[in-house]
Amino acid sequence: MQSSTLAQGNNTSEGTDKVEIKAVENVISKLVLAVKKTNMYPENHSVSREAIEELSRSLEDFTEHFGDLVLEVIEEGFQYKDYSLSAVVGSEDIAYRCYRDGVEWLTFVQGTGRDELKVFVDILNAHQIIGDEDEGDIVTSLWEAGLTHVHYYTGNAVWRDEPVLDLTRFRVIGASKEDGSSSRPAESDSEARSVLERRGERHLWELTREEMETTRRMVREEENRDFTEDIFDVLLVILEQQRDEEEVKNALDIIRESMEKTLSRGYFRNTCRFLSHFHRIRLKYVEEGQWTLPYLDDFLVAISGSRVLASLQHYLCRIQGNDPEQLEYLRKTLVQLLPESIETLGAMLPSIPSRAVGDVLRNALLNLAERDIRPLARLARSSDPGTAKQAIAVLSRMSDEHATQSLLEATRSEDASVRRAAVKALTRRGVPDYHQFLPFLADPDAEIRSYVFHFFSHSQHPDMEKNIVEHIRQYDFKQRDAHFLLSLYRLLGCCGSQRSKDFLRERLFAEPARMWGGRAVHRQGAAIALALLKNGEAEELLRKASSSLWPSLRSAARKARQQDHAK
Amino acid sequence: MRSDEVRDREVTWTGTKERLDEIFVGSFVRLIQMARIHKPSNQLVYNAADEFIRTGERFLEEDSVLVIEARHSRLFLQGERMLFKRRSAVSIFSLLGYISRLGIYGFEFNTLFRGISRRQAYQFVCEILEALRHEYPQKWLNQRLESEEFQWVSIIFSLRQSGSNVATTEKVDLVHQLYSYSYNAVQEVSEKLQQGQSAGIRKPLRVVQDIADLVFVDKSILMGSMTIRDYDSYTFTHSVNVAIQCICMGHELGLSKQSLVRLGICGLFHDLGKVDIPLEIINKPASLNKQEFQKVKYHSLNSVRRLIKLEVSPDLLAGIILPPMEHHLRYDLQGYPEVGWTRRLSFFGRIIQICDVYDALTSSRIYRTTPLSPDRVIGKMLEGSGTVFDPLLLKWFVNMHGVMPVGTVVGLNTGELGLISHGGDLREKRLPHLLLLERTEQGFQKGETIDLNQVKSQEAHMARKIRSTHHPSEFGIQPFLYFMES
Repeated sequence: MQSSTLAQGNNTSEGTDKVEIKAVENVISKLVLAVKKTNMYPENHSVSREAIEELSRSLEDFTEHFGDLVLEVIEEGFQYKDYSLSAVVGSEDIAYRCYRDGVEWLTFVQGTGRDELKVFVDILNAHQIIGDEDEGDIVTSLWEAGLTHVHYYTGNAVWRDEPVLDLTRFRVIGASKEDGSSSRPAESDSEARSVLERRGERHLWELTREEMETTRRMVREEENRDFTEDIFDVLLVILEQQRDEEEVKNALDIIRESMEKTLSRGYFRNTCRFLSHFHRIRLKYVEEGQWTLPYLDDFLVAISGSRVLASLQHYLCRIQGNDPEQLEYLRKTLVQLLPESIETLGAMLPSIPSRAVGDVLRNALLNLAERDIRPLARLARSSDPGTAKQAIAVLSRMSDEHATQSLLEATRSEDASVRRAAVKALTRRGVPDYHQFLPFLADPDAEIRSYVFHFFSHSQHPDMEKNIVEHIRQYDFKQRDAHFLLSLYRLLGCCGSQRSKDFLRERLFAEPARMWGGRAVHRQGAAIALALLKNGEAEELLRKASSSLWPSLRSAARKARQQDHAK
Repeated sequence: MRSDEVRDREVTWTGTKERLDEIFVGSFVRLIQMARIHKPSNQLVYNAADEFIRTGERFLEEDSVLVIEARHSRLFLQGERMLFKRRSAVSIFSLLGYISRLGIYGFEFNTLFRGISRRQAYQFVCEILEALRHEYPQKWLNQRLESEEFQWVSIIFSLRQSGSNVATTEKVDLVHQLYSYSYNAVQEVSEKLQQGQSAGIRKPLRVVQDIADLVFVDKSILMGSMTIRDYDSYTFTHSVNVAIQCICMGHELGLSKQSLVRLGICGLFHDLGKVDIPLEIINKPASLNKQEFQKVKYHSLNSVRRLIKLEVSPDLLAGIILPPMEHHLRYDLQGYPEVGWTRRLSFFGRIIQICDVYDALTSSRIYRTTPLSPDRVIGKMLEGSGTVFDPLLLKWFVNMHGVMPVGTVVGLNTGELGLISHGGDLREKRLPHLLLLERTEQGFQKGETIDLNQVKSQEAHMARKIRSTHHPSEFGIQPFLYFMES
């Protein structure tokens, strides 16, 4: 818009330039859209951002050419100079909200930024409807926001029906010195000296430079303080001196909300202190059989649940975990929750980037699971492999039978990575019954098979050999399993004995007509096993094979020897 | 012809009848806007500058200065508040905006204004626009306007007391209204909670925000309102007095506006639990027995019980819950309720405790119909410095009240009675101001205002000196009524 256009613009009947009116209407329509869109879409959504952007552009256009935008707010809508803006669809509603709360004038000063407009629009949205008992309104929110470029002027609308005190009707007792017989006078009162007389005692009132600095520090501390600690302190006193159910319920509701907020801000020292004190009170009530106990227990369930603890996740994902004191308070907080919290806390673990924070969480889960392992066992069965693996890591540190059972259950997971973690955990702690473990020799996951082979190959269990032989016999060979079958033979070679000799001979020298699917692989496997057995009879059998007329037999023996040497 | 008569003349401009002050402000704003987008040779700039000069000169035909001033979000021209009319509001708000962004209170044009050129007027508004681009616009503009070229204009850096009687009366009225709304608000919330209804704090919040705004504009009038007493509704006047006292003290301490509001809300609601004390205990003229005193001791904790039933966000509640509970705990943690804490009382708790004790001791109660005079109350409170009260905060409190607290009745060496209207300054050794009280058949009437500092410079035998101090209730005086009249 060119300034020359402004100078030549057509005046309306009221004397306001049409171009100017159009520019105002444009701002108002963008304001209406911004209010609607930011109400419908999340803050960071492109639609919301674009709506604020457009509002900002239109306002900038206006102020660039016409100066600050001053709007009168009347019940029917916005008014610019003498011109009603109610033709802008949707503007009456916004204007009414402002009017309802007593705003009479709004000014958008040149230089109003997007951030300020966003706050302004959010305030309009936050106060669409106002109840009799609301905490605030558009005016209180605008005051609180203290926007430097959006000014407002309020009239007396809110106080229209408020009576002003008639101070002449206020009674001033002690009216005459004559009748002033004080019925409960303080004896020391008559001796009280006027501050006028104490002017000489400068140390009592004179502020030193240091004291002024101390005051500034106290003000700074107060203005940056976390008040949720106050809630905890005060409401614990209320809980200790409880009187009725409603009061206890109210107090606990407030504490729960504060807990949520405190966790989301990472003030774990406060939550830790609160929970310690809370448990002391609870213990006392348990001993006394107090009626409040069920309320306290419900509260514990609530704060151990996903709704409250969800607030923690965002914070834990952000921190580096390089404050050991904070981490210790976090751990102490978590272990004071119910074991039911394990499922929520465990589900957070995969998304936490800091190893230190993860360790704290795992330690806390361990402590909680020692009180009740069931939530951790459920977590190990989670459909999310990441979560299940975290649970398995904790279970692997527990020594009781329930933990082993939970791990075994986890080995039945459909996810290979979970099975792998469970198998590893079980092998590390020592498999109680290796029969349960043998199926993993045929696990579709190569790493598990390899891991189990490695595990068994170092095992000296007496039944092992027999079972492996049996396993090979019953194995339904498929060509793609060649490697697996060879590994089985290799395992037999590692942990086998003289007892397997006949079986291996049979496999090595079997005639083609008697061979099973994958006979070449069996022959090769038997040769490998014999090479690994390293005893005289095995050696003899291999020598025999290497001097056989059958090229395949000679080849198998040679390869087995080569592999053995290579090893 | 006086300037107000000049102002009242109706002038025809673009077919609309406007007052001269509206035209002046309009032309001032228009000139700023034209200067932003046009060169000085542009006809639109000429027109705006001519009108600005012409209307300004009209004022200076009658007065030696033309003062345009922003006070409390209002624009005053020659001390008179300009009304927000549809036609002029845009200009008024715009000029208020410029003044606010410059960080000043206004401009004063002297008689040299008569005869300035268009170019000078244009240059003046250009300096304003340029100043707004600097980090410290006030400082920059002041340096520029110090040059010889701008001898006809100066910046107003602070609020003017002289010649602002209209504004003062308005402020006293405003304080009276705010006091009333606060009183109504605390009464309403208190009654709703007592009846088990839900209670929000929209109105208390709004009124406390207004008080926090006002304390930056004129604290002395607010201090005067803290002398309001009503024997029959002590709890409500006490709550409002403590709230106002806390806000004034918080302002002295340098708290932000937001914190002042929080402190004010704490003050307003610190005694919500009093409604639980049976009336027969409150109205008992004799000493309380142990059980009765026990019930009284519950009230600070009961205030918390009431607070948690308010319809407020957890964030706000967290900020206001502790101080009311602490207001009967001493600095050395004696007192009630017994909390077994080892940490010190909260900052706001210590402020409220001081303000609460001061107001309680300066109020008439059934068991103490003639309370101590305010100056003796402070003298007595000083005895508790470091044990009952935080010694540092008590010092700030004493300094806030000055040599003699507002509302103290004093007997003078001349036999006259006076009512302290301004407490003076301990540090600056400034003595108080007082209103002389003239005894009539109907009671006392407000007489002359005396500045004891000025009297001091007169001959010794003529000087008025304070001989005795009294509580206003001894004379049936409600001090604020006298301040309202002044």
